[in-house]
Amino acid sequence: MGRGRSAEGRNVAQAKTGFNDETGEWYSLDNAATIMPAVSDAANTSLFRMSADIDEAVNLPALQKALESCARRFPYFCVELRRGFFWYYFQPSDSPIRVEADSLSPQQGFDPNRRGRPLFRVRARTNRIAVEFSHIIADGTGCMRFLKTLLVEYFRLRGTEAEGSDSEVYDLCTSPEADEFEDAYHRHFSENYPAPDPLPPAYHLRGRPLHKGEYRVIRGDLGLAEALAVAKNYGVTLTELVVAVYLDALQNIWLASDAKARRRRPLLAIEVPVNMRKFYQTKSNRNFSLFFMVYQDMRLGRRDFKNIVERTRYQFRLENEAPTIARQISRNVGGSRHILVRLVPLAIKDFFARLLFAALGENLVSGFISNLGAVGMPPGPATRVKRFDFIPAPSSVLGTNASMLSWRDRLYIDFGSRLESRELERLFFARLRGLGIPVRVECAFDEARLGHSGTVPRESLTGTVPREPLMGTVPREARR
Amino acid sequence: MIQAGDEDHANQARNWGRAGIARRNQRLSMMGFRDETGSWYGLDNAAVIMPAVTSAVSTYLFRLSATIDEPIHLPSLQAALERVARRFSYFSVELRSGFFWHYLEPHEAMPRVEADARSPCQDFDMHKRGSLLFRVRARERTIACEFAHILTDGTGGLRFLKNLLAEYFRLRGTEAGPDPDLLDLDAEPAPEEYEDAYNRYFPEHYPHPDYERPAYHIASPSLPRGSYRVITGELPLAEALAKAKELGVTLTELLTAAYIEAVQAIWLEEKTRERAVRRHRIAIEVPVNMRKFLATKSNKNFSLFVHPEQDMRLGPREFSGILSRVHHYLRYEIDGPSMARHISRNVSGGRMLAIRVIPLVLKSPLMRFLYAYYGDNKVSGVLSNLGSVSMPGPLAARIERFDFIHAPSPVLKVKVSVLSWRDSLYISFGSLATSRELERLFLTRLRRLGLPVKVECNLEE
Repeated sequence: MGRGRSAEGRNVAQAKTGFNDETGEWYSLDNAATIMPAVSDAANTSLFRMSADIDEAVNLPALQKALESCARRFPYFCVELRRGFFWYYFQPSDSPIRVEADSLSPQQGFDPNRRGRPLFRVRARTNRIAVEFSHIIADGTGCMRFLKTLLVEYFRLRGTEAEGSDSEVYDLCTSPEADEFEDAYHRHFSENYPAPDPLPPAYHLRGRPLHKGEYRVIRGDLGLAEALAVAKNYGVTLTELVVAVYLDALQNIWLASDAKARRRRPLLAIEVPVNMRKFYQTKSNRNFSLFFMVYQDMRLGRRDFKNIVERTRYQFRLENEAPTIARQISRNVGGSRHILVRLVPLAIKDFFARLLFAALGENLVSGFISNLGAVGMPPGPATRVKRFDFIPAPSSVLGTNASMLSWRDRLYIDFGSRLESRELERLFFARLRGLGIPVRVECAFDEARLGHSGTVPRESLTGTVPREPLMGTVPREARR
Repeated sequence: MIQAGDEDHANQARNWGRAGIARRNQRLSMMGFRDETGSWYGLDNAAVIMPAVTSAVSTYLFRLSATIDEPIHLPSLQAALERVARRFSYFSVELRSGFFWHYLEPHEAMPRVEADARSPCQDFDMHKRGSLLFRVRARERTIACEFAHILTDGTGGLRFLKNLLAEYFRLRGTEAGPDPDLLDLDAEPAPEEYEDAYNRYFPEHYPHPDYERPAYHIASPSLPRGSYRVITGELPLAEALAKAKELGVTLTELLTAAYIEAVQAIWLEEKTRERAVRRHRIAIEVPVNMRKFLATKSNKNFSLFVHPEQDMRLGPREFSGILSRVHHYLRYEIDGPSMARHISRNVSGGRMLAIRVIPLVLKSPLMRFLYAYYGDNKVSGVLSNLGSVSMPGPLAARIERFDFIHAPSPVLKVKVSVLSWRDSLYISFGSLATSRELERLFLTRLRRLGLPVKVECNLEE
């Protein structure tokens, strides 16, 4: 019993990430973030993005003002990454935070290791407000809370007051609590769980990468009610249905790939992030997500769609549960608490972090789809937001990733890709159309090619783009 | 209205099955041979290992019996047996050792009905010269067939028993109606009836099954040698099915979950230090009749299995949690292509030249070693559900019940077998252990679900 209390005490102590000593104020990184600085660079920026399309052209002064208020409320996000002798740490950023202009390729031109800038940025274009967060400071939940708070404040300044309260919209008059930046992995660590079983290497999309600095986003806009109805017909959840569609698309690409790739990598693996807040209590806005994998072994032959859906469901129901996923906390936190790991200088840690990530990270994953679920907004601002988008962080290894969320009666599924080929996106949306779900797809790259500038009027942003450019690969020259 | 647009699942199972039917598979699945030494049969792929790992206790005999509405008329049963044994000539064999492999040689004499014993499936040595690999036993109103698993699985065994019953009742004046399992007893057996369906459907270039950790085994002192205790629980079938339906699972899933929960309770009772030694994986072997995926007329073995499992390091689970996991696990694993990975592993071994050229005297220790690693080592128990037994109309009225008892296992101690007949579900626990804890916990769970269970025990009558 005494031992249990001391383990609990240790968890509480280790979950603390905010410090104030003779050197000033600083934060430690949460357990999931520890490895990220070492494996982030100018291409794999660790930035993911959430944006809102609103019903007016963004008023920049108001947005800047709202951002400054929010930055004061979320000081633990306004930090720069610094190297210590043993660990990375966050130092409050001195530089003023300014709204930046959005670009055609989001989440690019950023290196978290560069000094002098906070680990998130807020961008605007015509009627879109976007926040790009480095995964080092938060996961989707934390980022969405920030965006919602920012939007509510922006609309307040623009004359639309929020009615009622929303637990994800922070009161800007309050001060942040330490619980908001606690390391929930450490908080909920249990040494009793075994480490996860080793996972096998997975198939990767291959093909010519886009130019440096380019990140192509293909945005899908689907009818939520129709998608839910189709999922219900199959007896699965929306996430399960979408993961099955993803697997089905990957299966077709695998079958069309060359014999050597098929022989070397016969396993399709989709990483499905899990918000651990649904299993464990925490107020933290730092990372607190883990994942599980959904597999299909292509050596067992092609499977028809219905079969893929069923098998996806079975895997979800077996893997998506607290004890199984908590095994990762056990390994990740247990590893970082190990005395040998702690005593190694950061430079050597970085080396091993890259090695581990190459072997155990993206090597085991063919694709990634994160579902943020239904977004809520307090009445008032809610009517003024036309659309939300969620774009995953770029990955050179995986090539293409997806994220989804739903807003009011629409389901938005966005693909971010570093690859020229759009085959995955095409197959994915074609299957959803085939299931009878209305799908509108758009790609800012093609709009640019069609003669619009990066700041296009709203009408063409939401209009349906001709299907042809999406089907094939846009020649590089045409995009230049 | 699901509109996937693709071919349906069954179609797909056929497709991968077809890929496996290479000419070589066709040739290697033929088990009947005739040469200058006379005629003989090869062992099917599942049977190959059994002669090496059998013992006086682990007899590899399983039992199917029927209790009818009259005291057995022995002369009729003997006459019926002789006629049916001639039709199932590939069962009327004895085990012989060749230089490289075991083989089956036709038995000269006619089988004789024997008196039943209190402990079933005991006192048998499949290696004994001149002894058949199955026996028919009678006592009062019960006709029992005990088959060495080397000959056949539950499906083949049940077909034999059904033919025997039909012939017996014909001699006693009740003619059987049509039934797909009833053979024309005057016909010659077709070679497909004793084909090795594993070899026939061997999938080339298939992966092998995933690695499994060794499983926890229930510890208990053994019963005296020669004793095999059978505790049978009888439940109303309709109520059991209704309960399973209410919980959204199949009967097999429900019973497997009750089994895992019972083993979990026993595991939790173990002292901490013993647990560490005695392993933390609970796995139940659930045999799967491969005939439902791959068409064969074979009456030899053609079953494989899945292992629903629970990792006790993640903590104990509620019954509902166990049930949900068993349900999804079985749905995920009982899938044609996934099951075929076992065929790939088991058959490829037997086909390897390096294995084939090893003389049998060296092969047998090797097989014992493999079995110690892959066999009962990987599971905590077995639950075999034969499903609902059917008999043609006029005969059905004359049969009171069927029983199915598993082959004894000194490693697992207890095995569970299930079948249903008319309105009743019979769950039999064949045990070599003195402890009855597993049976008690298992049946208590069914009672707690609101199912009335009537219990009987062969050693207590």
